[in-house]
Amino acid sequence: MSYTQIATSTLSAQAANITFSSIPQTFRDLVVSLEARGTSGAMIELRFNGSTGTYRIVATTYNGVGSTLSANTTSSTALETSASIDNLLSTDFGSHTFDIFEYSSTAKRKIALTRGSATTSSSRVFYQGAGYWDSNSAITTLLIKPTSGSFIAGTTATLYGVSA
Amino acid sequence: MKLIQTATAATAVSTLTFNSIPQTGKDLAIYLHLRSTASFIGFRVYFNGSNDSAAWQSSRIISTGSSVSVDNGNFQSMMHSTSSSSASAFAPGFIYINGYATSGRIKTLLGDSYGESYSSTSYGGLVVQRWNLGDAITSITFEGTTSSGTGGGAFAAGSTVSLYSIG
Repeated sequence: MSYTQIATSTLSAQAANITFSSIPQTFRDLVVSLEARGTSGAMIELRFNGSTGTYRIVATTYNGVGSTLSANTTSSTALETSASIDNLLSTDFGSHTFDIFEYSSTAKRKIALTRGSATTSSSRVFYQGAGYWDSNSAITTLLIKPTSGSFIAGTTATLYGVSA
Repeated sequence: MKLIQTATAATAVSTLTFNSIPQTGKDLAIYLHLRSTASFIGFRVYFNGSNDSAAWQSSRIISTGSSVSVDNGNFQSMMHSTSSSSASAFAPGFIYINGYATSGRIKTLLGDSYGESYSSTSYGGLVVQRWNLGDAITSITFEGTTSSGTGGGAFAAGSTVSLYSIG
């Protein structure tokens, strides 16, 4: 298995989203590594090709402060992927990875595994889930954004292509 | 993904360590294949020799048999096979660390690990560990623990950890 860095983006100023466009169709899978912090508590969502079509999600979320473990299955207009990103310290960034399988196939629905945390000195949220986009289209654009507010400066996303 | 180092226990050892980690990658991935010489199922991971529990916050989801539970604390153990696991069973695990070479940013470890036991209860654990120092990660230590969670355990001969750089 070989990882090739396709693109990386570090925000120099607050921004509503990070977008990777013109994704080469030459790899088997995609991996996104994200260190993110937001202007408000929010989930992080992935959107493929700008689509607000149907995304189906199954997720487990653990709020470590309240010792609450929850699970949900839902449909949404984006793939809501990970934990709250409203961190308290300027040095705290949530840590997330998204694996997107066979993204260039036009014969299969697109599936992703998502995992992330926003663990601060006073808040511990841990998220693990999976979802699929109800489309067979090849993924050429990937948009990452908080469900509300913006990403702050320093938020970094890196896109890797995975070869067998 | 580029292999940086592999550490294998030739005999039982209390720790396995990656030192002098190159600072040229973006993320780190670690594959684990571990077994303890003792009966306790947990081990811990820390960066740059920082094993003071006050420097860490951790949360964990544990599945045991047919139940699932959660806990949190400073150091939450990850899982491996034990002396009571089936013979020659080394349990798998995986760790991902984003932005390990960045200074001035708190580091987070995301880990999956399992404790294999053929004849009794097996364990699975998802853990997130937050290291509240912002230093770049230059070394990673895996330490066998006892039920106190503060060392004293040992990895069996043949235990292996492999460190990969991504990006």
